Amino acid sequence: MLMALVFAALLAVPPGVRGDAPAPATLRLWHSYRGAERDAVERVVAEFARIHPEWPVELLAVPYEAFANKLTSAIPRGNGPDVFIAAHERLGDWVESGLIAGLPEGDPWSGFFPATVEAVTWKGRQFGYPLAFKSLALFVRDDVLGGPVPGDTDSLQAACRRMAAGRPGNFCIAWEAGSFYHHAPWVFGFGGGILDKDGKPRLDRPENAASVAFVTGLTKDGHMPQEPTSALITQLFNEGRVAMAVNGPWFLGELAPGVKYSVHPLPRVSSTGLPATPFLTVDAAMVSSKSTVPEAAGALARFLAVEGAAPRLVDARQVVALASAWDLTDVAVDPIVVQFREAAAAAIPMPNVPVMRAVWEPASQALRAALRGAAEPEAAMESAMQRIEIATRPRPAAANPLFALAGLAILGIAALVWAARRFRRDDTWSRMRASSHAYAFLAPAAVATGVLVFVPFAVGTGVAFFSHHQGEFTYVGLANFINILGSTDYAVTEPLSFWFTLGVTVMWTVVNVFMHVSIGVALALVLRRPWMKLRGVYRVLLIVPWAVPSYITALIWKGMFHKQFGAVNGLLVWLGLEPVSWFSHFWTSFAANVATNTWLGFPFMMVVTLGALQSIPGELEEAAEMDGATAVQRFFSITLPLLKPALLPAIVLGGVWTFNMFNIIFLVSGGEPGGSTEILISEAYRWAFSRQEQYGYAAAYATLIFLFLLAWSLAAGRLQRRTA
Amino acid sequence: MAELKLRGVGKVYDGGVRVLSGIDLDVADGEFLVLVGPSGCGKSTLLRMIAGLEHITEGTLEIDGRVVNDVAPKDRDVAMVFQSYALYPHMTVRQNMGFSLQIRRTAAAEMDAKVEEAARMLGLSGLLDRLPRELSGGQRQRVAIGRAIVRRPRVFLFDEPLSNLDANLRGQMRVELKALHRDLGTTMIYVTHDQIEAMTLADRICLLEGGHARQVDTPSGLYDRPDSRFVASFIGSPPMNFLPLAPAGNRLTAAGISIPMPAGLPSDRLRATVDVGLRPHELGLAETDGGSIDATVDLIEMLGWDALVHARCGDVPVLAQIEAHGAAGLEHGAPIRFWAAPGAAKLFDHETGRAIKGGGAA
Ligand SMILES: Nc1ncnc2c1ncn2[C@@H]1O[C@H](COP(=O)(O)OP(=O)(O)OP(=O)(O)O)[C@@H](O)[C@H]1O
Ligand SMILES: [Mg+2]
Repeated sequence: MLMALVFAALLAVPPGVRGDAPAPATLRLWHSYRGAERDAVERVVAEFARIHPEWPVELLAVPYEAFANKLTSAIPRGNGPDVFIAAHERLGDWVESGLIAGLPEGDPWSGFFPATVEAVTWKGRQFGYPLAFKSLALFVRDDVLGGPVPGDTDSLQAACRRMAAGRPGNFCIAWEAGSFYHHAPWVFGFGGGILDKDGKPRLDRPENAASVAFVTGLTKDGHMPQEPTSALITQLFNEGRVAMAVNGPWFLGELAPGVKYSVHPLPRVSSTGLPATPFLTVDAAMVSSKSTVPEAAGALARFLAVEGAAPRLVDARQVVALASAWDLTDVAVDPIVVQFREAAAAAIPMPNVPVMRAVWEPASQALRAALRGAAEPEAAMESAMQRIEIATRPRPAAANPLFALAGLAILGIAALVWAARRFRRDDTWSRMRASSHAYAFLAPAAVATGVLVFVPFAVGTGVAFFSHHQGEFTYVGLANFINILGSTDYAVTEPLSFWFTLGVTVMWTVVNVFMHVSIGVALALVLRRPWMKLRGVYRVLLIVPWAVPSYITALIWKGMFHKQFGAVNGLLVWLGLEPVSWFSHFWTSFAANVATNTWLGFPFMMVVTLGALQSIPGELEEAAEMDGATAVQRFFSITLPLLKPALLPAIVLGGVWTFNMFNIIFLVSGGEPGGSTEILISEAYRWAFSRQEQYGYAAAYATLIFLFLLAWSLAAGRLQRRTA
Repeated sequence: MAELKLRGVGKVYDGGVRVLSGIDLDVADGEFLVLVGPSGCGKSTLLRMIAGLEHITEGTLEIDGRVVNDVAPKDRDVAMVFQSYALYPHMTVRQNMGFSLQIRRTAAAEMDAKVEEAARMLGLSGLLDRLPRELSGGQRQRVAIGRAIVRRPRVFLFDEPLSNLDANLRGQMRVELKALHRDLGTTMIYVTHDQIEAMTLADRICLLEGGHARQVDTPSGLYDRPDSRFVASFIGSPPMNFLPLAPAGNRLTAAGISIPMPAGLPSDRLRATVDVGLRPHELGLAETDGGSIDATVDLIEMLGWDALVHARCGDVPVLAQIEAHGAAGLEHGAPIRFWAAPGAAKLFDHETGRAIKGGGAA
């Protein structure tokens, strides 16, 4: 209310009157640029400040990963930027949730490339000044290709066949075929599409299937590497083992110095005559709708786009959206930048509708399924449609919060009454006063725990009773839980179902903990043997997996399970076995996850066991030996029971860790195939961040995970007390 | 029931540490053999080699005529009671005692019967369902023994089983062990460094020193006919006096000491100095033909019926055990004359410590 008043008051004051005000409002500009781009923007801003001394500008570089989240949380609270530079993909979202302001019509819109203007247009109105754009282009190593750059798919195929004859083990072309963003150019090239006229996703078209078949063919013929990841493509291209790569401008930063390359538009699809059309991503300067100085903010955004175009083009090598900047500059423009602009000529703006973000995950999943031959392209696209429908399903109806509030109030009062009675009966107060010192020492930790654990926990649990849509939370009662537990939108046996994922998670946990404990205990027993030389060295070496950050380990193992280049398949081939496509089947994919996590998990159990073994007198084993027990009998009837008190807490803890081991699932299998190896925590992440931001639904998942783990620890605690 | 034969048994640990060498030992069926010796002499090592817990690096071990050097402990059919008892802490007394039977898949009924019988023998019947930590030291000791006897092994091995008990309990357990041996009649090898235990329990004693078996004999044989000064000093409490004397004619003398030469020992066979051993109770105040020692009283320990008189003859300490009334009135610094019992003196070579025996009929 107060904010609104202040806002209104500010708006009411004409700018001219404010000119002589002593403390002018500062313009805040947020961006996520780094390096040369950041320097260029800073210079442009400095220039703006020189011309408009009445509008000082404060720049803030926000890390890219956090950018969108920061915007959506800061702007509604009034502490966001006045102007920010962001990709246009979320423009629709931001307009709909009232984050950004519309811009005046007329000049300068005609000066930008039309596609970039289209990108910032929402329902006929512009919501950002286009700064620069990016799209996929064809990177060519002319030395490797050894011929003309193919202009259509027929000549591409021909070139590939020619190359394959000469150089086995090398590839013709590569792109991240498993990512729908990288595949999209072919969808358009084959005459297909993603959204229909009403802006609804429609993937199940014959043309889309044809585009998938085209890529499958390239892979089958060995022209394209299998399971191509960005790191793999970079490596192959740098080593000259692939002649062409489809990638974006960001690829430039990964190229090794000395690699000779050129950049071209993507080839035409011969059968349709259409060009392979990549998506265009436009960086735009947008004005916050909550800006207190909208006029100045608008001016700054415009200045960045228009006056700032030339410096950004020349100094930061941005492919700027202002057409005139390309003619006016008298300084030589880097030819690569020009090539990028030409490559983007055919590009179409990435749809800025919110529903687009529900498409990527299912579409990519379907694509990968089709590429590895697990499904026909048509069927894969159809199943992607089902997933998209679930992600874009209508939100549950709002519920009346009165019941819940009343319930909460009654619970709260009951808790208070109970506490008060206990307090009085046990004389707690005077006892607390007697040890007030102890409480004083505990207080900081208690406060910290409260702030860092209980508050987020309470908020998270609370969110589970809400539904989120474009920045708005609606109370829906137990609807999320009912949907999840009732598996309303999909069969229990589908990977999307909570029960399926719970089953996978429990199995994941049991198998992992079993592996961790058995390997850890076995190694500890071996390390304890007196005849082991260099015991200390082994001990340290075996703890190393634990000391390496888990995501690095995960990425290394992911690479080792690569179908074509992985060490694991290399070993299989060396042994004369067939290479395995690890992430194509549930069990192999699950096994890859388990192997990685076992590698990470056994050292902990080993260290715990080594410690516990120290406290078991050697004479006990000798006594058992005298009693006639074999080594196995000694282990199971003497050593293991004596290790139990130390191992049980470790197992409980390891179980909880494994249950929530997000990194490994996300980085190694990524849920492949078809989301089936997803565990609850990574599923919750997907609901929150790649399925239309269903935060409430995700929070309900988190709450269920918590309840499950709580039950597990209580049960385990009871077990422990019984055996102790 | 078994007899053991050790032939040239030695032990060198991994690091090259030699602990035992050339042990030759025969243990008869049903015999109670005690291994005794000072701390670190290798008693436990020898026992563990017999048990199979320690590899035999030299020589052979035979049980009932079969060389068992390379036979695993569980196949030697021997049972061992550890100094620390080594009871399985997570098992009840019943489970502890029944473990070896369970391993051998004995039928439950038979197992119960055997455990209960052993428990009755050892007075553990009421404690069968307790955990080791709920028992007293003496009870734990009994459980450890019970665990060994339920399966009726051919040989029992005990490694200082009583050393963790207080003196009273130790005395009582000693008697019980003796009775147990009588009842079972099984071969037993028992390690101790307590010579009273050794003397009271043993059929025969093997005295170890520095990794060598010094003398193997019955308790009285060791006591009466020690092979060396070390054996003589180790066996018997309070320990034997050693007086360095010079042969002079048919007497052995030093300043204030004169003892007749034992029969059959011509002085020309002796070196300039011999060690003459006399046990404290072989010295008295009443005149005898056994020779005399003039000394000065240091202090008196009254033990009740008798007393220990610590005295000094020049530099040589002399300890005498005499009747208490005889010691009354003795004071520090007072001169005293001890008389040795006739024929009691034992002679040892001053350099090698070997016993010098009479040459039979002189
Ligand atoms: N594993 C080993 N490695 C090297 N030397 C050892 C080892 N175990 C024992 N010893 C040495 O062997 C010698 C004999 O040890 P042992 O335990 O047999 O003595 P003991 O006669 O039982 O003594 P105590 O009466 O103190 O129990 C000792 O000097 C000891 O230091
Ligand atoms: Mg010992």
